[in-house]
This record gives sequence, C-alpha cells and structure tokens, in this order.
Amino acid sequence: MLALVTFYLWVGPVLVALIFGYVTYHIYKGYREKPKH
Amino acid sequence: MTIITVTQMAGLLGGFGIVMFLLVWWHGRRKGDTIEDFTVAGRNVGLGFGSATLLATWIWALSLYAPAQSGYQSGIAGPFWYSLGGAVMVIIFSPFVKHIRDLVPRGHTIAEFVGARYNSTAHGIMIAFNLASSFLVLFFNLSVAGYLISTFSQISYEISIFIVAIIFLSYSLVSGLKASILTDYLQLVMISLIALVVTPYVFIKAGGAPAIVSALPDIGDKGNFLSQDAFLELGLPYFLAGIFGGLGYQSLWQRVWAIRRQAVSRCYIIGGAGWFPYSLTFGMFGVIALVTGISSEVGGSDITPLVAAHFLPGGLAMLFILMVLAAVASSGDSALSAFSTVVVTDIFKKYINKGATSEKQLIVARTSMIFIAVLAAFAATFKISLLQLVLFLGVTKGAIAFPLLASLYWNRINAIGFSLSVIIGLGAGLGAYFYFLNISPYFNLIGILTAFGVSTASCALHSLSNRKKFDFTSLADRVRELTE
Repeated sequence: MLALVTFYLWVGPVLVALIFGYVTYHIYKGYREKPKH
Repeated sequence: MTIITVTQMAGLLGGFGIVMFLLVWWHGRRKGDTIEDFTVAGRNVGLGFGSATLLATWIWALSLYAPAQSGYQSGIAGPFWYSLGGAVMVIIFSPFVKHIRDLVPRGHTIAEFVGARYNSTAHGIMIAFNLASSFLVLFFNLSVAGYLISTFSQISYEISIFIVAIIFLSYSLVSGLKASILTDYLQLVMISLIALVVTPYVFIKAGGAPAIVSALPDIGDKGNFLSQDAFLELGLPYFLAGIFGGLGYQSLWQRVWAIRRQAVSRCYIIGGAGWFPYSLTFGMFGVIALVTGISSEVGGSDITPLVAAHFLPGGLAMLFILMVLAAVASSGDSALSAFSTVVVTDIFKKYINKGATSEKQLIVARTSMIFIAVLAAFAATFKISLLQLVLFLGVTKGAIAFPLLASLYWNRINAIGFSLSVIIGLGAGLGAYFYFLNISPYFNLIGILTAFGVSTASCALHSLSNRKKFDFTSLADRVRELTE
C-alpha cells in the first residue's frame, strides 16, 4: 500500500516535470530553427 | 490568515503586471500588429508555444481549487477522476482541429464557421454562447483572484479584482491573442512551480506517503482507490461532461487557427494529456487536508488556500499567490482575446462594417476588451450569483455538441436542422434539469445528457429527411482573412 500511495503522490510532479521539459525544449528548438533576419 | 503585508502584495502584483507587459511590448516593438496578428497570432504558432498556451489556458483559477475539493470531498480517488475528465475535454478536440483548419483555413472563430456553414440564426446562437462563455470565465477568474488576495493580505476584495483585471487587460490590449500566447508560457513556468516546488514541500511537511497510509483506515471509503462513490459522483459525470466541456469554448477553438497546421493536433493532445498531471498534483492538497484533519467550513471549495496557509511559510505563500495569479491571468487574457475576436469577426466585420480597415477593427477589438473586462470586474465585485448562467451554458454545451461536430462532416445538416436541434435540446435539457433537481443527485448530468440526446436525435432525424447536400469545398472561400 505504501508503494502505491507513494507512486500516486509523486507521479503528478514527475509527469509535470516531463511535460514542462518537453514544451520548453520545443520552444527552444523553435527559436533555434527560426531564420535570422 | 493575513500573512502578507499590503506592501508585499502590491509589489507582487505590480511586479507580475510589469513583467508581463514588458515581455509583450518588447516582443512586438519592431512592427505594428494587424488585426490578423491580434486575433490569430499570424497563424504561425509552433508546437512548443501551441502546447504551452493550451495548457496554461486550460489551467484556470478553478483548476487549482476544484481538484483539491474533489480530493477533500471524494477521497483519494477524487483527484484522479477529476483530472481524467478535464484532460478528455482538450484531447477530444484533437481529431477535429485539423479537419476544421482544412475546411476554413482562414478562420478565426467557431461561430464564423457556423455562420458560413448555415445562416445568421445559427450564427447568432453560437455568437451568444461564445460571448457568454467568455464573460463567465472572466467573472470566475476575477472572483477567485479577489478572494485569494483579500484572504492573504489586507487589500480589499473589490480593489483586488480591479487590480488583476487591469494587469491582464494592459498587456492584452497591446497584441491580443499574440500577447496571450506569449505570456502563457511564462505563466506556465509559474504554475509549474506549484507542482514542482510548493506541492512537494507540502507533501513532505505533511509527513508524505507514510502519513497518508497510516490515516487511510480513519477516513473509511474515502481512503479507497476503487471507491464506487468516487466513481459515480466524480468519475462518470466528469468523464461524460468532458466530452462536451470545451466544445463551446472559443478560447480553445481560436488556437486551431493560430497554431501551424502540421502541429495543431499534437498540441491539443499534449495540452490535454499534460493537464492531467498538473490537476492531479493540485488535487493532492485535498487529500492532504483530509488525512491531516484540516477542515473546510464551505465544503472544500477553499481547501487549497487553507492547506497552503497551514503548511507554507511567508516566502512560499507569496510564490503560491503568484502562481494562482498566473493561472488567473492565462485564462483571463484568453477570454478577453476570445471575446474581442468574436465581436470583431462575427459582429463588426460581418454585420456592421464589411469594408473596415485593419486599424478600425483593432480599435473595435480593443474597445470590446475594455468593455468586457470592466463588466466582468463589476459583476465580480457585486458577488452576484451566476448559477443560472452556469446552468444554462452547461446544458447548452450538451445541446450544441452533436450538431456542431456533425456540421464538420455531415453534408445533409442544414440551418434549420442545426438551429432547431440546439433549441429543442436546450429546452429538453433545462426541463430535465429542473424536474430532477430535487429527485436525483445527478440532476446536472441528467440535464446535460438529455440536452445531448434530444439535440442529437432531432438533428439526425431532420438531416436524414433533407436531400439537399452541402458543398464543403465552398467554405474556404466564404471565410476570409479580416484584412481582405
């Protein structure tokens, strides 16, 4: 039970970190690929 | 619970507003925006900003409060079901967004599509629904901001509302949806800090998983992951409501035309799937309250600030307020942008001045933003009950869902079929809602499902009897850019 509750409690922050990292990476990638004027 | 001084709070609000405004001003300093930039951000938003804006827009003030309330009321399974329902609301868009983008590549609003597909009556129904939805989102966000700021400091509820309204109005006036999308990422950074810093801090201070496990026997069925009550009261209703939830929400549709075509479906999937862990994390505040004995006198609707104030020291409490402010602003500026786009595209340009210049349309868009922000702020200060409007819009979502989505694919639906099915479905849904109000705890769900069932049946029956077929290829020419 402890393992299940630990997973349930912490899965949110871990997935938030992954999603946030993914979105940030694509914004960074977009800026790098943007043609320079 | 006054733990922040007026000076600190004023600094926090002022700093937030200045940073957002400077970001938008700096980004747009080189060239003047056209009305197309203002309404659909130049149709050139990429995967990263597209996903971030959908996430930040969908995480509104209530997204920080309602999951925690579900955890407090329904127990450990509550946040899971609530979060699943909310995620479905955005993911459900993904199959339709590329299709509508192909049908009307130069579109701006969902009402504009309905107007081009049908007639002015059907168009009017969608306009009214979109304007009312935007007003409601603004009203709720400003109310939550007012309660939060006045709870944590001695700044009054009324003044708090106007300060927050001025903050997101100021940068929205500069460049509309472009400003909204640009600031959404920064606001997402702030919201993410709740999930990555504040919530783990609360978990640890509350004793973590061992404290929850040891308290589970004391909270009965609320400690059960497979609780049938949690499923019936939250899981099923939210999942079903999720199917209809976002369909009438112009802020979500507007981004269909702002994001690049090849990235648009992925953005909606990432936006929806990404919302799930954010909501689940915020929901743990309610579970923590349940196991640590923090009680709410109003059924848990204030449980998030109560838990925050209980566990967080002054510095982190300020961070918490900043994050709620970010959630309020990200949805508030989107609602302002949605409202002004509907006013310009569907009312001003369509019915009042077809040949209006870009500059004139920008003036109308900005004026309508000021109008709705002031109206929503005044409504929020009077603390008027908008329950009837909430009910009406909830049932309308059910009534609009099938006719709207079928309009994208089925060429036998006509203007009468669309308008009649929405009106009949709405009437039936409201009737069912009031009939079951004192009979069943699921009266809200029954109202929405009745509206959906009746509108679907009437739309299908009418359309099957209609032999005239609509030519979808004609839509692309009927919907033009606002500068054309």
